[in-house]
Amino acid sequence: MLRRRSFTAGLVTAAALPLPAIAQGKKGGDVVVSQQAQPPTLDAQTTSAQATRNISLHMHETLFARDEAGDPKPDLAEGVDISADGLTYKFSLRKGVLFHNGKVMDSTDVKASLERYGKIGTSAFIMKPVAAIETPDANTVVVKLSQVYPGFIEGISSPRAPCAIMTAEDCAKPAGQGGSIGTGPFTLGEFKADSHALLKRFDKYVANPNYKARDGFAGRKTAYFDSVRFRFMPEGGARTAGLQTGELHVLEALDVPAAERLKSDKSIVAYTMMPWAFQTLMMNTNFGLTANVSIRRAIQAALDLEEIMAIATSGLFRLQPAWQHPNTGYFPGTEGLAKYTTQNKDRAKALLKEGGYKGEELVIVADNSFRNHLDTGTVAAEQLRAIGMNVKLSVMDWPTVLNARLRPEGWNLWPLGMGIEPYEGPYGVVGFFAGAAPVQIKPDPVIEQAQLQLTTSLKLADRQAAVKMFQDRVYDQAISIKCGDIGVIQATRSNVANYAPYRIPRMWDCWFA
Amino acid sequence: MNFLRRPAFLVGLVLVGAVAIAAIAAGWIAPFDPVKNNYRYRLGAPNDLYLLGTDRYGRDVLSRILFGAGVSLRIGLAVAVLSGLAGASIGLISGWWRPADAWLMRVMDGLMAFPGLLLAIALAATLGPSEATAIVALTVAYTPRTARVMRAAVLVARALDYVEAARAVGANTVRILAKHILPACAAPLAVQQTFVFAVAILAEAVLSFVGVGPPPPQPTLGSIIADGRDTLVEAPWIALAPGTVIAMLVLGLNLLGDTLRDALDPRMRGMLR
Repeated sequence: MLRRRSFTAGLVTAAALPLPAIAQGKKGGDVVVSQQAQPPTLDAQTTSAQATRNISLHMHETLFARDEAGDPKPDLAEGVDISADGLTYKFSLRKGVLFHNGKVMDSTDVKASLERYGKIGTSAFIMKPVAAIETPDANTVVVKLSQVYPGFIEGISSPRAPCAIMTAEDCAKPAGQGGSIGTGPFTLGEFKADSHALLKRFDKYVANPNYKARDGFAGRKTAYFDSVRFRFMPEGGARTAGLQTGELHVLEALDVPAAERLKSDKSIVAYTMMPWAFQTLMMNTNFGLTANVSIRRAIQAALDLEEIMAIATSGLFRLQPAWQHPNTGYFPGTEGLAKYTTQNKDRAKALLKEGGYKGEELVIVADNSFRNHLDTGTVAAEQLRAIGMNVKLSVMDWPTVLNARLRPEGWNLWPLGMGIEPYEGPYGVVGFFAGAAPVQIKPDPVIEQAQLQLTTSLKLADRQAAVKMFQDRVYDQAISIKCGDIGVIQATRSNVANYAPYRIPRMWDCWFA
Repeated sequence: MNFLRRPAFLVGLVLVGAVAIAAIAAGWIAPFDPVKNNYRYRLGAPNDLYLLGTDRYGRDVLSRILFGAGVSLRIGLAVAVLSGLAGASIGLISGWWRPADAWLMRVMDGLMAFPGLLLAIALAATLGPSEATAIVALTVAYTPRTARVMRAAVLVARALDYVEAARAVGANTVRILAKHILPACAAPLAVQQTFVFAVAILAEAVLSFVGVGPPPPQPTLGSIIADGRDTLVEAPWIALAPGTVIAMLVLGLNLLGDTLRDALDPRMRGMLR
């Protein structure tokens, strides 16, 4: 077997080196983290909910995991050898890794976990090209693909709905019931619906010796806190008050106005992350007005993205039009996009005329569960009314909106924040517009081609070109509006030492000072 | 009975009247367009330009309250009238035609088994948020109580001597109901609907607060409070001002209802001075 590409730990320690020198941590203490939503399940494989991910990624690990920059690095695997034809992935597993029940992880557990993910995982499509999984010995897993799929490692390392490695016994459980036993630095103590989840430090945790320090979801993880309590608190004001009083130690998100107010409070440290998510306005190219490209272009020209972003994010935003984050491997650049993102009401009105607009109703479906969605919908509705469009803003709860927007008809615009997909890289973003159920409902031939090139080309340059092709098409045909990048503020009490903000509030490698 | 001599009545009248006049005149006296965003002046504190400050969108809170009070009053009044008509009809049928009584009252019992607000939220969520939906939902939720009050009044009235007499002289049912029963029941119905008016305003605010009232950007008192909830500490004026208006309206209507009840209840008449 030819070693075409090798992700090995030896290569990546260099990436971990620039991290600051590690202060000596102190064991002990019960830390309380507050999050907005309650997790629908703790079965990590079967949901993409942030509320679950926050908790489950303390309990579960994956073969590969994303590092601080979002790139895949070995975690439970020592590395992988990929054959020259891109069809065989030979994973060597770390030896002696313990599950929370004391069992040593071996290749049968990994095989069972991957197979379970292929059946009931939320992103089960990443297992679709897998033809066979072999376990030649206890520490080797060979995955054979039926077709080339360069996004495989990105897929199995994504934290979106993590491809968690579970015990073979746990893998036999149906969706939603597995996942209480993992290999992570914390083990499940108690889960109380509508209240909290309590995790306890797993003292027999086998940290990854190939790293020197924490690195994204990978790296060398050390648990210092005796326990981590995740409290589910829907009210932002209550969470802020809890942090102020010291009842809570860590918040996954602090409201921007509250962060402004607490700037001078020495007992609280705020960590701003930019970018956190895309703010988008998805369009239905299959139905009514937005099936007409002139009308879609009119909408594109009518919107004042700065006003939308300023209101939807309370000011924590940046206007960044690309459909990938800057400084990542697939960033397609922003050249030539200004003409699409600059508001031009006259052009918008001319395009409406060109599209034969006669006062038909434009339906925006927005949910009131996420402020940025509702605000984006509300402000966009006003801006479109200002060019003479007849806009109906239909506000419903999040599950209803999710359901409504899956229908091929009945909606035109849908405000959506995309957080984890752009973090994952190009696959989640381009894939959102391609395949069997594209977000814009009607498949677009050029996007399909870009998706095919992205998911089957072994050459990185070809895949990067595919992302650029996708972005150019989305702008040219006004298939969707990228309003800008949203930031987020995570916050801790000042006695939480060595905390570093990330996709989830990581409670390893930090401690009470 | 001279209402105007009663301080409670006067206070109620002033409270409700002031809000009602302001709401009706909103189009002329509101300093700004209530849905006009100004994102450069978000969460602005009250000053001489924006008397009650601005909200997260930079919209003038005073203008939004003026227009929002109109929506609240409109919904409250519509619910009071519609549930009055529906409840009075059901109560009248139920109290007069005894075979229908058991059926109608069991249906009313069924509706009353759900807390009124919960029923309204469920209905509004199902029908989709709009002003009409809020009116329908709250009317359905508050009709059973009115029907019960009306039925009790009819049962009392039908046994009155002059009703018996009208029957004895051969007056037909329509005449008896219109000439004798309805006037006898008008007082308790009026009192009940005054309270429904107040409760409906409060309930509309709750519907809007939980997001099933009229859709944004239309201001309603409840939705303005909901807008201010996340910034209660940083920008308390957003929630405080509409909250005060709701309190004024509900207190005023309750005072009016109380005076009305006292004045119309013969057993209370001796206690009034």
